[in-house]
Formats: sequence, C-alpha cells, structure tokens
Amino acid sequence: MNSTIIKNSFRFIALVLAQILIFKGIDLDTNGFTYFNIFIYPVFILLLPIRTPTVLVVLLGFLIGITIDMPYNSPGVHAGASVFSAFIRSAILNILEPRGGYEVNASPTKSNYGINFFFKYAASFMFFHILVYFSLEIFTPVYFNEIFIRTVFSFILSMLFIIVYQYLFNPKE
Amino acid sequence: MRSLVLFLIQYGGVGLFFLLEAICLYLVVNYNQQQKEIWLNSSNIISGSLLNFRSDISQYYNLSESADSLAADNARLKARLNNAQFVQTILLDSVKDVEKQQQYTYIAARVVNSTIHLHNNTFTIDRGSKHGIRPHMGVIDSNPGGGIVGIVTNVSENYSVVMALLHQGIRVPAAIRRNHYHGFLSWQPSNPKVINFIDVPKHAEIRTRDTIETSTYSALFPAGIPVGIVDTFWQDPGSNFHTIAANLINDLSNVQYVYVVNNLMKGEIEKLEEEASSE
Repeated sequence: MNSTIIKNSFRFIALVLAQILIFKGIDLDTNGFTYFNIFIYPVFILLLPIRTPTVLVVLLGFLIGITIDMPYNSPGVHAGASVFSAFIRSAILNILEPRGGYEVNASPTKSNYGINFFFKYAASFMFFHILVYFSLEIFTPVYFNEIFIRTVFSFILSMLFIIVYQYLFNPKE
Repeated sequence: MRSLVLFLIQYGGVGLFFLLEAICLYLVVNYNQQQKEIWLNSSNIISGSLLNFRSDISQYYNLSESADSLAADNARLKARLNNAQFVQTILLDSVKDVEKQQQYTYIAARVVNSTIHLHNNTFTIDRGSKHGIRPHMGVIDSNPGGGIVGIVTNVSENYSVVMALLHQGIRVPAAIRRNHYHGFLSWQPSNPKVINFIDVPKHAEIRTRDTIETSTYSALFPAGIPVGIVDTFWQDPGSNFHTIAANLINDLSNVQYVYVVNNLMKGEIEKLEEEASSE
C-alpha cells in the first residue's frame, strides 16, 4: 500500500517534469496554427490503481492538471480536461472489465492485462481527455474543424508515446 | 461519521467532478484572454437575445393599449380635417375672411360584438354616454379607404349599440361622387358585401365603378367619405328612380375599430328644420 503511494508520487513528479521540460517544446506550428500537442502527463491518472475511489481520482486529476496549467499559462484548461477524463475513467474500466474481474490493488497496465486491453483503455481515455482539452482551449464550436483536426493529430502522437512508455518501463503498479 | 465518509467515497465522485469542473471553467474564463473574450461575447449575445425576447413579449401584451392610444390620436387628427370643419367664410366685397369652426369631432371605439348574417344586424361598441355618445350619431370605419358602419341607436353608460349599415331600417343620404346626384343607402338582407343605393333620379347618368360617398345632406356623417362602388344598376318598371347595387368599400365582417361622429351643429340644424316645418 505504501509502496503504491510512493511509486505514484514519484510518477506524478516524473511525468510533470517530462511534460514541461520535454513535450511542452515539441509542437508543429505553421502559420500560427498548432497541429498537435503531445500529452504524456495523463498517464498518471491512467495508471492509478483500479480500486482507487472516484473521488480521489478526480481530485488527483485536478491536482496534476492545475500543476501542468501553471507553466502552460492556461489556468483551468488542463485541469478541466483532467478532471473530466478522471471522472470517466471508472466508466471506461467498467466497460473493459475482463471476464474474471480486476484483481485487488492492481493497476491497469500492459504487464497486468496485456497490450490489447491497455491500448483500448488508454485510447478511449486519451481521446476524451484531448477532445475536452481542445474544446476548452479553443472554446467555441465555431472552430469545430480545428478542434477535430488537433484532437486527431495530438491523439495519435500522444498514444504513440504512451505505448512506448509502457514498453520502456513496463510498470506493474 | 464513518458511514458518512464511506458514503462520500462511494458517491462523492459525481459531486466533486461537477465542483472541480465548475472551478476549472471559472479559471478558464477568468484567466485566459481568448476564452474570456469568447465567454463575454457569447454571454452578451445570449443575454441580448433574451432581453429582446422579453421586450417582444411585453410589446405584444401592450399592443391593445397602443392600438387604443393610436385610435384616440386618429380621432383627434380626423377632427382637424377639412370635412370636419364648418367653413364660416364671409365674402364681402374685397374683404375675404376665411374662418373655420369645428363641426365634427370623433370618438374612437372598439367593436366588442357584432352580427352580420341576420336581417337586422347590429354592432356593440365599448364607448357609451360616459364618453359623450348619444343616440343618432353616425359611426364610421377606421379603415383608411373609408366606409361607414352605421348609426348609434341605444346607449348605456359604457357601451352603445349601433344599427349596422346591414340593417333593414337603415336609410343614409349619399351621393355619387362624380356628379353629386343624391339618393339613399338601404339594405336588403342578402349579401353583407352589397348595399343598395336607391331613389337616384332617372335622368342621372350612372356608370359602373362610380364611387358613392356620404353627402352633405346627412347630419350624421361628414361629407365625402367613400361608401361603395357601383356594381350594377337598373330601373324597376314604372319607377322614376334608379336602383343601384354597390359593393361596400369596407368589409363589415371584420371591423375592429370605429369612430363615432359627433356633429356639433346637429342640434342647430334640427331645431331650425323643426321650426320651418311647424310654420
């Protein structure tokens, strides 16, 4: 139990640093139109233990979102997206629940439930996260095309890095 | 206490989710320039259209009030027209002094009840003795094209009954506008859009589409109000007069506002004529 908290705290710090120091600088900007942003920090919410109460997940989502918002200078945008995806996390997990159910204290990782499960789980989670993020950033349905294009590009690239992360560290919890 | 904590852990997620999303939205709108502008603009548009909607509704409910005040205004303006004045022109050698005196005033009224398909049709209007209406006053239509409605017969404090033009007892002096031949308007119960114009001398030349208007012989109506358009005319065998069927200018089945005509000199005329006939 204690090791879970320590590991997640460590992951929190590492992902925030990676997001700010590395991925914040990577974007394709032509003529003032940003095609994508890469999101790696939602992996923290993604990998929280499955039995974590929704209250705690939502709270931690808000925490990491607002932490990312400070250097991005966009108060509330990342936080709003994180709170949303944290809230729907349990619904996604319920839908994808394997026949035997989840093990107590397990985390939804590749090593525990296989790449097939993890990909579906991460993809649904990230899609909503990114969609809400760009909806909040662009903030008007007038530019729906822009929201959609940027969601798709960012989704593909973020998923790439998240899968690479799983293969690189192969976390158990 | 313990169960409360458990309850919150179990079901607090939804509440916390909405609370935190509200906080995020507040932050987004207040601390991001672009989102702030979009938010302010959109809320202006929304509140603006709401206010418009509200004023549209209140205007709709005030319609009858404004229609009433417009009708009263019209009555005042009508009283200033030339045909409501008695011209006191004195022609004396080289002195030409044009003087006018008010002859007609108008009282605006709204029709509250009417019949159209009976043999003797009437209107009820919402003005009565309190507003200066007396029996035997003429009633004209608010229709800008002209048209008369009838003659007041009964008056109560707030309401009056008008004998409609479509009443077998009606007999209103009128004339053909083109050549001023006089006759009387009367009505046979048949068609509420057609009125008869009778007692026009046989030698009068009449054409279809001649306009029939109120004549100066009538003490009830100002002269020159168009009443009908000649449709057909014929002579009954052995009669010395034309009978004319004319289409009414106004449609008496949808009259809403009328003006009651008050002839300020009617008493004088009647008194004089009475004196003359009793001599």
